[in-house]
Amino acid sequence: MTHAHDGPGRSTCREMAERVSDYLDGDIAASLRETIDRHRGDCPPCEAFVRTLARTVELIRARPQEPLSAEQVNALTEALRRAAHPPRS
Amino acid sequence: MANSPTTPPEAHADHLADLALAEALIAGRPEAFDPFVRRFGPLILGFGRRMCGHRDDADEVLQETLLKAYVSLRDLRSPAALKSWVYRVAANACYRMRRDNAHEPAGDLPLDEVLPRPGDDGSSPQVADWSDLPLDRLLQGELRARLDAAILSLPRDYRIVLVLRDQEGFSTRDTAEVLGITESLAKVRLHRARLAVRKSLDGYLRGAA
Repeated sequence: MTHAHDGPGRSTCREMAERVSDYLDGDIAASLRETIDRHRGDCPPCEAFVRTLARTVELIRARPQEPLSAEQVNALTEALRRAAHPPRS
Repeated sequence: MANSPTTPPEAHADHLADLALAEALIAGRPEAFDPFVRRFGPLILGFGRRMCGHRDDADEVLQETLLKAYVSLRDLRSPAALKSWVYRVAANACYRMRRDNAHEPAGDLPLDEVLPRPGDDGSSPQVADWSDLPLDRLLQGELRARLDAAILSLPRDYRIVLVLRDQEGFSTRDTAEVLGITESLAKVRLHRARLAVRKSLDGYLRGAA
């Protein structure tokens, strides 16, 4: 992300945009984390960007379960038995 | 899955259970089939659904995966890696199935296309903050469908990283291992996939913020 008003901060916006997933995942050097933390306080668009990306990841992770029916469990188990012991022809 | 001091207790328990399950399957004990299906059936069905988008395709991926994973267990070097092994087989099944789909999105996701755009005059992008909207409201009906559609519209190489990492619970390192790619490439794809989904949701939610 770039902001015309940022001046020297322009590179910080870009660096943050490139590393924000690592930032959210805690997979980032402490010094860069501190830089991004400070930048978020100074740059409302980047703050909104980080917050909405974090929310997006949260929504992605809230995935629905896909339970198997008892019939599916039985059919798959039987298919494995057949694979283990194929009938003699 | 690699264990570390930060591995959650439930993941560690799954890991130990998978080790015992893999050893029972490799030993040819038929009583292991039912727990194998109950352990991985729902996971692979969900994975297939999120990768393929259709229940019929997901059912096919499920059956193919469990059978192939079992039959080829002798190729599994470490029984403790059963989960990664099963997902690797499932990923291959999804790739094969998607090759037959004419609507399969392909291509790359350039970073600048998934970031908020500055104004034509170079002014700051207008970024709406909809992050405070309540989660239960966000996940109702139409938004859930939009989220699923956004994930399905990702190029498959990006979608599979997002699904494994953010929905199936693999670490970035294990995601890379399942897919046979470098960890740095997995990180790039994960990041851009997340940004693309954010952009899609933003188009829907910015009016509600």
